[in-house]
This record gives sequence, C-alpha cells and structure tokens, in this order.
Amino acid sequence: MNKFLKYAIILVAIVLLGYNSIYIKKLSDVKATTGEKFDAAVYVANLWKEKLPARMQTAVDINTLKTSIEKDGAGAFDKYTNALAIGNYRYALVKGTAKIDKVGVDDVAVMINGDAPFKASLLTEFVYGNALRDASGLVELKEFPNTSDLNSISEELNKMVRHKIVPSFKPGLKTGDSIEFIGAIELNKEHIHFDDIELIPLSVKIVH
Amino acid sequence: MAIGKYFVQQLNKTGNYVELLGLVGDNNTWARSKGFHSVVDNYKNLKMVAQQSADFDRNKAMEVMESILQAHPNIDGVFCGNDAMAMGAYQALLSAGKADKVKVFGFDGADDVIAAINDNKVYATGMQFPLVMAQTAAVFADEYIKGKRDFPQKIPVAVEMVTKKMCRIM
Repeated sequence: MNKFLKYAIILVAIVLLGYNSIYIKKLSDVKATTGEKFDAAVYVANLWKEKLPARMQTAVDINTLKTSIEKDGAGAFDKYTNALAIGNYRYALVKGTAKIDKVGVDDVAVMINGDAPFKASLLTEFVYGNALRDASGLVELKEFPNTSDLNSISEELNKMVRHKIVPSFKPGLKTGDSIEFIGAIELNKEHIHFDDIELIPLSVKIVH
Repeated sequence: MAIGKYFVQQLNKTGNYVELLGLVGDNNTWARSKGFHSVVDNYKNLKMVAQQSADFDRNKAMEVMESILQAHPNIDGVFCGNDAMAMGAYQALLSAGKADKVKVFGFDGADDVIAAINDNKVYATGMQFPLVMAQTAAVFADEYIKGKRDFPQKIPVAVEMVTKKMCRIM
C-alpha cells in the first residue's frame, strides 16, 4: 500500500509539473498578443503634422552654430545638436539665408549669407540617413527598442522631404535667387567643416 | 545607408553590380544588406546581377567573385558585407584585369582596406568603433552596479563612412 501511495504521489507531482510547464496556444492568438507592427508611415505623418512645425521654429541660425562651435565645440554640440547613436556624428536643425549658385539634378548649390559666406548643398535627390530624425530631437531611443523601427522613421522622414518638400521649391528656383531656409545638417565632431556642407531642406522660401 | 548613397553616386545611378553577403545566418549580414538596399533599390537603372554569400571570408570571396565574373563579365560595382570580402573581391577583379573598372565597397574599417582606399583599390568602407562599444558597455555596467536601471534596450553606435577624401583628412 505504501508503495502504491508513493507511486501515486510521484505521478500526481509529474502531472502537476507537466500541466504547469507546457502551454498550448493557437499561433494566431500568440501573434495577436505580440502587439501590432510599428507603422512608420503613420508615425511620421503624425510627427510631421503635429510636432515638426513647432520644432522647426527653434532651429538655430547656421552662422550662430558655426561661430559657437569655433569658440566652444563641446558646449555648442551639447546645446545645439542631437544624436541617437553614440559616436562622432551630431545633427542640428539650422536656418539661414542663402543665394542660389546653381540648380543641379541632385542638389542645389548655394552660398550661405553671413560675415564669412560659405558654400553648401541643398540635397534634393540623395536625401538619406538619420540627419532629419536626429536633428529634430523628436524621437526618443527608449521608445524604440527595435533598431529597424528607428531606421524606418528616418526612411519615412526622408521620403517626405523627397516627395513633398523638394517638389514644393525646386521647380521655381533659379541661379541668383535669394532664399530663406530651414533644414537638417550632419556634423562630425572629429572632422568639423561647414564649407560644402550638405543640408536636408525642410523649408525653402524665395525672398526678394 | 551612407555607403549605399555613395555607391549610387559613384556609379552615377546606373550599371550592373554584385553583392557579396556574409554568413546568411548572421544578423549583421542582413542589417548591412538591408541598409544598402534601402538606398540602392530606389534606382531602377542599377541592376544587381548576382547576390551570393562568401561567409565574411577573404578567400571564399575571391572564389565566389571569380565564378560570378565568368557569368557576368560586365559589372560596375561590388558591395561587400565586410572588408575581408572586399579585399577578396578586389583580388579576383585584379586577376581578371577589371580592377580599374569595377568599384569595390566594403564594411568594417579594417586597416588593410583603409590602405586600399588610399591606393584607389577600394572606394569606401563603413568604419566601426569596437573600442567605443567596449568603453560604453563598461560605463553602463558600472552605472548598473551603482543602481541605475533606466537604460534603453539598444543603443546604436554610429558607423562612419571612410572614402579617399576622408583618408586625406584623417
């Protein structure tokens, strides 16, 4: 009898352990509980409409940024730039005025006005990378544990520039025009240069 | 993405190219490939004539490139998932007498590829910073031991593109 009781207890223990160790669920139910796939297009459309316009108004004058970096690099990078990744690249939202030198196929060559004018390119074709996402300061790393989602935000923002912003100003531009601009730039802390800097345009207005 | 952009610019948005992938089971292989294609696939006149794995290995890359060149002798560019494969691909192109015509791009920032960029053998690579990664990990570990718990799940470390122009600055 003792032997029978012993085996019965072992059997009950195995059944209980087994029952609590194995869960069988429908694959469709599991997929449903893992959350919806991140829709970067919807996220960016909302960001573009609700948050970016206000953020653009805080863009720093490109000459102020240049002078600040020349005087106090570390302080200026902390104050005016942002980056989600660790490294030398920093990104800033900048504004200024410029004169059109040449309207090219892939970019618009401009001369940035200031005490020491310098050349720059408004990118109109090769709008890629994280400059706009990071310069905006609107995307938090902690909100996006998936790197692919973070990259897709950049892709969608860049698409907006290529498909909405560029067609809104490029066809009307000609050499000699004066413009006001707001855009995003990338700076390398170890190799700082403003001459020939590439600028992703967010707003370009012809001024007379 | 920066290498993809530079690749398109150097090929003037047109031509045939080859992609040499790393280990197909490795996450980095596809992350690099996806970043590259997120730019290059926007240009319909750029045609990928072959995409093959060379396991991140220099010798295998040379062999794979040799066989690809037999099937596709007219190519304009090669994108490789790491620098060892870029050097292997360059060796195959050199043997086939095509090293001057075909533009090779790597990834990692290995010393021999930086030297090859300086010598006009390779066009560009993506410089990674393992020292920064190690330092950051050590700093975060120290902060964790001291009680901090508020960390992002993932923190990207920027990859810097190295071209001949950058080599001159460096």
